[in-house]
Amino acid sequence: MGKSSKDKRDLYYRKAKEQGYRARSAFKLLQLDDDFHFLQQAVRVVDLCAAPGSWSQVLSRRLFPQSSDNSDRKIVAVDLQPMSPIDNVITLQADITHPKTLQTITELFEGKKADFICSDGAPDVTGLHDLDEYVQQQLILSALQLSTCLLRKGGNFVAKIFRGRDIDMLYSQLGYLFEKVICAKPRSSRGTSLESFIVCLGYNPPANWEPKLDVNSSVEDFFQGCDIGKLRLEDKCPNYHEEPRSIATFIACGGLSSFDSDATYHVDTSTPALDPVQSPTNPPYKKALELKRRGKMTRAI
Amino acid sequence: MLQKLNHVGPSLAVKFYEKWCLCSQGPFIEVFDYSNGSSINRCHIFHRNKVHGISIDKTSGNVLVYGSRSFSIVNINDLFSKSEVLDQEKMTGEWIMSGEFSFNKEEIYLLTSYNRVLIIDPDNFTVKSTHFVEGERSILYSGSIKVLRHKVLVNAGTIMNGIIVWELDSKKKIHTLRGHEGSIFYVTTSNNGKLLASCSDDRSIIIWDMVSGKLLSRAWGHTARIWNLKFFNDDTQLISVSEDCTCRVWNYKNDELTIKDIFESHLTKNVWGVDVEETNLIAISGGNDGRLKVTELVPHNRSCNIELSLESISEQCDGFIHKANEIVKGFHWFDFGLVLITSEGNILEYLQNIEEWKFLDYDDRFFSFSITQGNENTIFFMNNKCLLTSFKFDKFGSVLQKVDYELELLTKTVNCLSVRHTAHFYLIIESPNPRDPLLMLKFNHGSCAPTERYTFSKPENMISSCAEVHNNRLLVGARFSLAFIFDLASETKPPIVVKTQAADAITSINYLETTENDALFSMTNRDGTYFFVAVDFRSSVYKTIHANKISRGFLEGSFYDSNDDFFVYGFKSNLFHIYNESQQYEVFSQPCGGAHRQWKLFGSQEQQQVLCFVKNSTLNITKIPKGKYPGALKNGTHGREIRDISFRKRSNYCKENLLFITGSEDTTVKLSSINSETGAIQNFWTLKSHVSGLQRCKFICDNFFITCSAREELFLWELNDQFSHPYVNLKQKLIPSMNNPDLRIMDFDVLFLNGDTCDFIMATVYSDSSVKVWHYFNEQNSFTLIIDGRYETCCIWNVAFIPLQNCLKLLIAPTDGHLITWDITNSVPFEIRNNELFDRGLKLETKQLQNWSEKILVHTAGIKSLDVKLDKSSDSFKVYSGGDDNAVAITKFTNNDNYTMKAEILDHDSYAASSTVTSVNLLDNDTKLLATSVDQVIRIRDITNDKLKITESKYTTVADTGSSDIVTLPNVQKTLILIGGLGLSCWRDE
Repeated sequence: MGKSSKDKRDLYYRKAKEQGYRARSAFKLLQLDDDFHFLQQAVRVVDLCAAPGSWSQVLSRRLFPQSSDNSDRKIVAVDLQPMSPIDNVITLQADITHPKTLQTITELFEGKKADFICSDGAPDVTGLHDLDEYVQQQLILSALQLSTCLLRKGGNFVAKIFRGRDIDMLYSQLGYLFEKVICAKPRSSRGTSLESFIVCLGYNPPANWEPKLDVNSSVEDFFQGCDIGKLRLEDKCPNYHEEPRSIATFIACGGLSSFDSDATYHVDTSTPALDPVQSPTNPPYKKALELKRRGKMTRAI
Repeated sequence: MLQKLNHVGPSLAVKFYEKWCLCSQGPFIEVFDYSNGSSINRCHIFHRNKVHGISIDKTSGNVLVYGSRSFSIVNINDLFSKSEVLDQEKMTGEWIMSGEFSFNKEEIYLLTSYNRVLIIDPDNFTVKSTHFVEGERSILYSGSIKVLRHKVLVNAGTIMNGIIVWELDSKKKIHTLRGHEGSIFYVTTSNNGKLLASCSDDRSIIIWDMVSGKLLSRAWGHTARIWNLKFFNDDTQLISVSEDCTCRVWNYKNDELTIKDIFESHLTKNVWGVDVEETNLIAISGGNDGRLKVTELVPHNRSCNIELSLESISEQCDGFIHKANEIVKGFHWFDFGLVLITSEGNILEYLQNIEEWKFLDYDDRFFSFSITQGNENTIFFMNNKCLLTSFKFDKFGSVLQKVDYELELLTKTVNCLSVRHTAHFYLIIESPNPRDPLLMLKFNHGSCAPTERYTFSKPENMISSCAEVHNNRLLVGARFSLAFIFDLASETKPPIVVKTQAADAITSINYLETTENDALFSMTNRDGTYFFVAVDFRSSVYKTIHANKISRGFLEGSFYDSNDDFFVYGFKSNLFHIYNESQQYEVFSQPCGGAHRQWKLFGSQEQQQVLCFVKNSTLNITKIPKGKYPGALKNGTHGREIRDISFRKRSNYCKENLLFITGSEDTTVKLSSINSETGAIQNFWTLKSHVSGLQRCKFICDNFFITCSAREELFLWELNDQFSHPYVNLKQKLIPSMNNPDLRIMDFDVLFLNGDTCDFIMATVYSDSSVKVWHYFNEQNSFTLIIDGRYETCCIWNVAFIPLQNCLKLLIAPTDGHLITWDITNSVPFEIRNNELFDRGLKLETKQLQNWSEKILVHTAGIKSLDVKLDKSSDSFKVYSGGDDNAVAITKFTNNDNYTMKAEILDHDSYAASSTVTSVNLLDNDTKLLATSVDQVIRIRDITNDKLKITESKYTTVADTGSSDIVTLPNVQKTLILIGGLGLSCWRDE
């Protein structure tokens, strides 16, 4: 989150800095919780793909209000990237697909199950819509496989989705594990973006299904045995067939009184732009940018 | 029934096979003969999934096609003859990253996104086994399989852990190659299996030693992500394609990767696939723009035939002694070779057949200043003291005649321009003395002496830069973007002064054609603009009917080729380049040190073009290679999402073709035509006036369309179709109210006044919730604000005028999901009668928008699109809307009295789509509703009983589906449908 002219046009961006959030996405979770209240009774929560940590900040502020007894509450935030510390949040730099991560979290929760698990993660977007959607769904399923090992029956799961051509297949799959699956879009998420959030309420896995994380099995393997409706790796590659799809109920969150992220607001620009709460990370193409700045990337031939 | 006619969209896989090229586009593979660009067949491979990769087994003629979780083994003959092979589609559980035949062709290998290889029997599709490396199953962004005689290597490009190279049989990891930063986007083995090339998010290419796993070389150059790599030429060269739209060739020699060539081959943004045909050294690349670009790697762009300094010429040229500081002042290229003059007055000749230099003459009257022009086998030199000397040659370059001609009408001479015509040759000579006339000499071809002489009084502000002669008129292009038209029949008559909207000198004027009384000329301006100007000589009236700008650089000239593509040429940074402006790609480039150098382009595109220029006091002569192959097998469309589409509805353009415009995220608007029988699309112009991504574009009548975007940009364009190509000119812009780059005009609607298509009112809605109504007065070409106001604070996505008998309603649809109407009957200074508006000469003034009159919540999120149907009784109307809440609804507004209405939802489908509904259109005399949504399904609903009843749904390959338009074909009772998003698909409802 940089310090830029974004301040002028993006009210949520500006508000995030004012309120000390590391990213404007904090408002998305706040608006989702305002509608669904999944944090109200939550004691143990997990934030997956948590960096830079704006959702963990929201969890921390909602679960640990001042002047109340919060002693049994625990928040664990997991990401492959390092994260700077957040009050009341235990941060783990770990792979969410690895059994060791599950073991660590289980130990932190002293064997007790989690009430709420969320993931705001998104992969590198390539521009190949079908691949991007697939990778995003695999990321959600990775978060989900860990979640099935951690969630208590009746627990809730929230993750970022892109509403593309196969989203109805994901809805259908999640329908096998939760009582209710809703597609929610907070007002802080732009209407012009494909981004939405899948809100899965009331974890209710099929009876007789024992989720088991294994380093050598893929996400697809993991959900075999649980009748999640996806193709199984059988002995013979099947012919093309339509896979189960279902449409989830859509709910807009945040209320009409909250800011519209598609709108242009005329804000007073005389107040100086605040510094970002956390500096932007180094992109992998940093050296390429540097070479370009030094004029080494011009078309000399 | 919906019939699919055509699809243009991202092409991911391209593969040469003998004299053909197999190219994927969506779920299809199209086979082309690349020698002439003809399409042999298009075969539908997968039901939904896109074809991402093709592998060919040449011995059996089997082709392994894969994409997403689908694969198919197709006989090559079927690709050449069948329209579909859908029943052969097979599925796997995971995304297929790469697929290959085994060495003995008895198995196929599929590498999945979880770094596992499925070994499959191609006869019965059983999975014989699944191989993977213990503990390595993180998701991949890329991967490839290298089948060698004795082993099979798997290269897996991971997100975090570099490249994992493993051996298929033993399932043993061989290398973990670390050196890149970020996700690995492509990895490939050299043909001999000794090298590995990879690229990642860090935008570099690394060559690795397959034996030691050592990093051998790392090269930079691409300015965005690289998507594909391929070794060729005995593994001594590598080709790469990138998000930066370029295709680059690299040399690999002595353990070092160095750049050799850069080709700008696709439109913003992304080039996905590439292949090289090694015998003829041509490359094929497929981009997001759907273009299939053929690039000839040899002959090189820069095959300079001659590159010599005067000093080295003097070594080969008897009789010519080069002086220090002597430079080339001018030259002309003939069929026999080149004639040049130096700053000392030395005249030299290069004979191309015998490759020899000859000294012709020394004339000190041309010391320091000379201007050179040539025609047929005659060259003219002019000095600044009114002397014109010409040499006439025979066809072998021997001097036949030398003639001196005194320009006695002038006191001094500063510029000499030439115009070559079929019948005659002209020299136009200018004096720096304002009292001197402008002189024109007319020559017969091959003659040294003029047959006629014309003099014109020179306009005060004219500094000439180029000229053209047509229909007994002389056209002179000049500085300050001015052109002057002199009448040869009446030399004393003052010229017509043509003013064009550009900043610099006019660099070329070409006559194109005449229809009715209008003669059409193309003009280029050095500042990068080009124009088409229609002149009626009888009435001395001219009109700019087209103006456009190239993205970067200076323009020097233009021409149409035999395929009717329009080309421009000029300088871009340090390059001279020729650019196909119709199709938007470069056809030739030559580093020449940049503009303002001494240069000339000789010859014609049909025969041979020769570029001569002087760089660092070195003379360069380059014969521009004529392409042996078509520049593209398919031209494609925008390289980014198409945000809006609009047909010109009322009249056809050229037989069964219809004109349409597309506005894209790439900030351009394209004018194209579509064949209503075949769906074939032809691009005419890519309009570059907008600086941000387009929101909407719409034809408001046959010859006007409007486009809008951020920065409050709203442009009114005029279309002219009287000539053999359609032309478009930006007629008027709306003046922004403030300097806010984010303030977007989201939508507009237009209502013509007085029953014609001249004056109109226009409503505009904004991202800051503003609502404005304007009056456009055609005669003065001006917009006047007549209503100004605001809804709330949310962004407004749609607006429509609804004339209801004697009232005028304004309808908007914002992000809050409501439909809101105003009665603006009394706010507009027009009489409203029977649903039409009439200008009665009332005063135009800006009124404030009153409070809205009706408001109804229809969608739970923003309304993306709507269409309106006026009921026959004219006291009610219906709104068909599609929203971000995946819903489609019908809302009816009925008049209570003149000013208030009753609003009710007649039907509402919350589960209309599984994703955002992005566009709705009424079809078939308003009996059906077409809706597109981001789930890539087109749905048609019957709406006859005010109920939404699905009658048909079809999957579209266009991702990020965001726009549509329809047109009813009057004679055949069919509807043509265009769907836009990332690509364009064309359907017919019949």
